[in-house]
Amino acid sequence: MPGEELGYWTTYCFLMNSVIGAGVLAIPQAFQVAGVLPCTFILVCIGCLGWLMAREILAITEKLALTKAPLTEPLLASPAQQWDLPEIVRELLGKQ
Amino acid sequence: MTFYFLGSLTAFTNVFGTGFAYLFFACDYAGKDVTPQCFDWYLVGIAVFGVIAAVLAALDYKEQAVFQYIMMCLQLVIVLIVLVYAFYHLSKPEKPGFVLVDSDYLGQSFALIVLAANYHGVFPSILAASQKSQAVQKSVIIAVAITVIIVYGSMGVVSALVIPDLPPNASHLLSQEYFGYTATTLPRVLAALKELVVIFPVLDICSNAPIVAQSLAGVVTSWGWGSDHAQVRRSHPYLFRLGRAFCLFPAVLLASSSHNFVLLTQAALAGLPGMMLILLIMTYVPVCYNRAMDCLEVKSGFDLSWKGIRGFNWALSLCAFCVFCTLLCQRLDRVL
Repeated sequence: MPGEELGYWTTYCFLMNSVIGAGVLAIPQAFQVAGVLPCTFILVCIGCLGWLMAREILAITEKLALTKAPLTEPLLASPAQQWDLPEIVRELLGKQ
Repeated sequence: MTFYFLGSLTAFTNVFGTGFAYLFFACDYAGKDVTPQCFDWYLVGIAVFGVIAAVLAALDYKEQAVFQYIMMCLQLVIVLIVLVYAFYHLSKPEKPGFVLVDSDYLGQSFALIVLAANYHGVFPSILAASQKSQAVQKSVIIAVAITVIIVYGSMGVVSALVIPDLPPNASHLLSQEYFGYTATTLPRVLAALKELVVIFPVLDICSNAPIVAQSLAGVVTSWGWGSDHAQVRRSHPYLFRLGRAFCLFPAVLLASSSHNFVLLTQAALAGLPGMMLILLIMTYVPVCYNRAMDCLEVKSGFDLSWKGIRGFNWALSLCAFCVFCTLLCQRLDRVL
């Protein structure tokens, strides 16, 4: 957003607040019904894949903006295009 | 993504309204028909939520940063209280039995964990507001992933060890009552902390909903104005603020129109949104990334340097699709 400059911890706070809420309700039930061992394994895998997906989403975002691909391109029907992509790319371009 | 964000906001509204009626007016829906009076209190709850969330959504990220800091600290305190209480409970001689592995519920739990650990939808819009370098943004991603694993892992393990039985119904989950936080189980000096823990899930939604509403507004403006949407936002900032607040309106309308509102929460806990995320994030994004590498020749700072990433993405996408199909078959099998 124009005029906004979130610092490291503020960005971290926003992201954590966006994720913790659902888990407080869901995680205990998941661990209890399916067992501790498989759920711990799944959680670690999903956490690592989460990091990978985040990187890929941001990479797609940046690539799309750098090439200024038209919206009619089939690739751009991806969810990444519909997120707030031009905004982040504008920021990234400003850094380069 | 629009439907997912809208569904999330509807679920938040539903959880707040149900929790509001349950916590403040003792409306218990366990196995009973919802009384008209309870439904009225539910409507009051979602009206309160609508006002709070709309005001917060209208604020820019930086303007609500203090509120988010407070909620973040509160979350950490609550998680610590729960963990300390759980360890205290574990130190007692009578320990309840716990499940080590139960393959019957593995699918449902998988979907729940995917739902709980999902934050990808809001990532671009939040990082867009961050002026930090890519290196710092990458470290934020890692920090969030590690924190999620530690917090959820510890909560999941201790809750599985401490909770003797399954929660009786979804409405009890809204208040964390399944942790045994009742007036009789805690010393009086901890009563205030108990109230804080009981009320926490309802409060937490207030910090989550504005972030999702802002992301939904970003999606909608991208739809409407395409690549010009950032310029439109800059030229009409107050209109855009109003639009962000208005994003809550359909969710409040949907939540208020449901007479079987407890079903919404039960659907979430049955793992249906998690299944949707498996398809949307874990199946679709890897394919998109591979296609982006094929079609767009430019390099991104977020690109992964690992050479096997393309094959890994195809394998991941295929596995995620198989998991989704399996879960869907299981779900249909139970329904039919």
